Amino acid sequence: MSIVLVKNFKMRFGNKTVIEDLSFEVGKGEIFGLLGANGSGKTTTVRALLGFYKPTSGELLIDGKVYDPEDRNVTVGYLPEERGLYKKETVIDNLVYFANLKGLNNPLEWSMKYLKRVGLTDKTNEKLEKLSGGQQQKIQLGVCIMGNPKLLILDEPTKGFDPMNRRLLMEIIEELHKKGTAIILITHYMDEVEKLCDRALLLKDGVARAYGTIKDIKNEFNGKSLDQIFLEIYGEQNE
Amino acid sequence: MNKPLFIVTKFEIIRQLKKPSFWLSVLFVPAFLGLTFLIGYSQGNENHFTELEEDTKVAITDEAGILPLNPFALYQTEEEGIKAVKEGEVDLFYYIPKDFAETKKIEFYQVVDGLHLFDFSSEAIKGILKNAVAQDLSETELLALTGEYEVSTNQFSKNGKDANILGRAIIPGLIAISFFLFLVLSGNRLTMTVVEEKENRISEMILTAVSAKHLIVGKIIAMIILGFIQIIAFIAPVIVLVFLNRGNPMISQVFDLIEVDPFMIIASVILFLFSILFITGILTLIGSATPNAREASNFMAPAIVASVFPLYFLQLFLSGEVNFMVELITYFPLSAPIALMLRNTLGTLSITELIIGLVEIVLISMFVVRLTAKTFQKNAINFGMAVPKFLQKRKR
Repeated sequence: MSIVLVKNFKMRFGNKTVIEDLSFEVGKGEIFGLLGANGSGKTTTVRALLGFYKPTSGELLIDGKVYDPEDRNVTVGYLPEERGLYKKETVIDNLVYFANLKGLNNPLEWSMKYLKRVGLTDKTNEKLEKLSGGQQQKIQLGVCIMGNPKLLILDEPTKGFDPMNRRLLMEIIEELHKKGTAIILITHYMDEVEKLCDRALLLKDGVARAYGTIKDIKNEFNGKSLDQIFLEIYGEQNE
Repeated sequence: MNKPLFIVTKFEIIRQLKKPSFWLSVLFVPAFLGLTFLIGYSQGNENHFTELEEDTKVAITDEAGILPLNPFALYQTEEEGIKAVKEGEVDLFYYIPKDFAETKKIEFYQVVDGLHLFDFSSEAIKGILKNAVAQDLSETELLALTGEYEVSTNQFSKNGKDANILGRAIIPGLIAISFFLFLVLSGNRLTMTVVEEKENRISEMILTAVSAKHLIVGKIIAMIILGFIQIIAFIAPVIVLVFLNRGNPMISQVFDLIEVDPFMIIASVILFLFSILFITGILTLIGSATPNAREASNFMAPAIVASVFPLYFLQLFLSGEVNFMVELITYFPLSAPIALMLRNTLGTLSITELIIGLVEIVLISMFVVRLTAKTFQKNAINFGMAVPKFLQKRKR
């Protein structure tokens, strides 16, 4: 049973085709790597999946439906590449606001527990702008995972993360994975993909170049590592 | 209210109310007005005390013979009086010349130790002369002579009905002023509230938790409520001041003048409410279509200027004449709210025109709010300017 179904997805911006007939599925509880060089169409696919873009053609479904952010039966956590929160508001106000919007039963209690977990209890009533970059990332991550989402989409999650936050993120991914959350991981770090992902899709210029389990993809490329496969596919692009 | 809509509205209201800058902008003008009033009031009192102190020595030389029994006749000539003032024998010296009836001029002499802004010398001598002459006149003659009576104006319009234009204009006028205050006090906040999500890169995260429509409508509702809070905070001190001075003849005269015209007042209230929705929609649309505060302010200023455009042609509106220019300003979308309220205040707006204007404002408001939500959704993730296709440069 799949949580994400993308079928014959095509996306054009004016005369430019960004995605060409893309189809893939993400299973429930699966960690799925969405890979590709910059401009290959990864973020566009996620944005169309979340309804920010209207696809030129094709179907993009989450849990069998077009995504509706207010449907409490289909909860999605999204950590975009470009991310931020209300800097002028306090840490607790930011967390409680998002927890309320995501329909959590006890937003304050959840927020306090999360702050304790990430060691930021003393920052509860600080304005977000007073926190360091790494501390702000922890809050963004909290907003993303609140309410145990059915699907978690992480776009370059470790970009700018210090080693401590990177370890925290890995812990959270593993924890949510155990609870049955499906995760779409968009990253340039192939070691993360090899370590975490069950399956992956490699995109180039909006076209799927490889799709399947990590083992199948490696076999398709004569047992090469994902790093080597990545270089082989995108090296052509740079030549 | 829908739950996400309620959550957004509540969050937006509370975060604005917590900002010192909000209260500073709300209370600055009323505080300034209050302070000005208090200073004026205290200075007024000071003047009162300095008018004629008990030990003030006054001398009047009356060569015109107006004062039959002159208790202030201390000096025979003007020169003697001047000398006495200079030497400090008297504080004030008035000289009424023989040819007063021709020159209509009285000379006043006084030694001063600084700049006297509030000169009461003319009032003092006028009072003394008036009292002297009044002794020989009846009360009616005195009233006729002094002009200290009220002329009650009763006007009729061409159809023979009572035409208390000014009295009827007071309440709709106050409603129109309230809209102007809303525009001036809230304009910037309306635009910036939508820009913030884009500037801080919050858009993508928040749009996975709430729909763009509910986010924008929630913000609009919050901004309208905050606007009302601002208007109330602005007007409340004025009401208190009026209440405290209700005995003042000028204020009671205004109250006597007020005439309640239900049609004009209802029309004003409806226009006010929809105009607020309209201008909130326009300004949030600017915020949703622009990537940052700087870009937004470039578009916001012309929109506000266009909204207050009827005030540049106030004379034209006041003349009561409805010509092409007035009609144009009345139906031009951005200037329509103030123009319609202004004409309703002055009684030059017919029912048909009111309905056409209201329909226009309501339709455009609904369209603009929908467009704002769509633009926000589309532009929120572009972090760039949403320029209409026909304005985009074609690549060659």
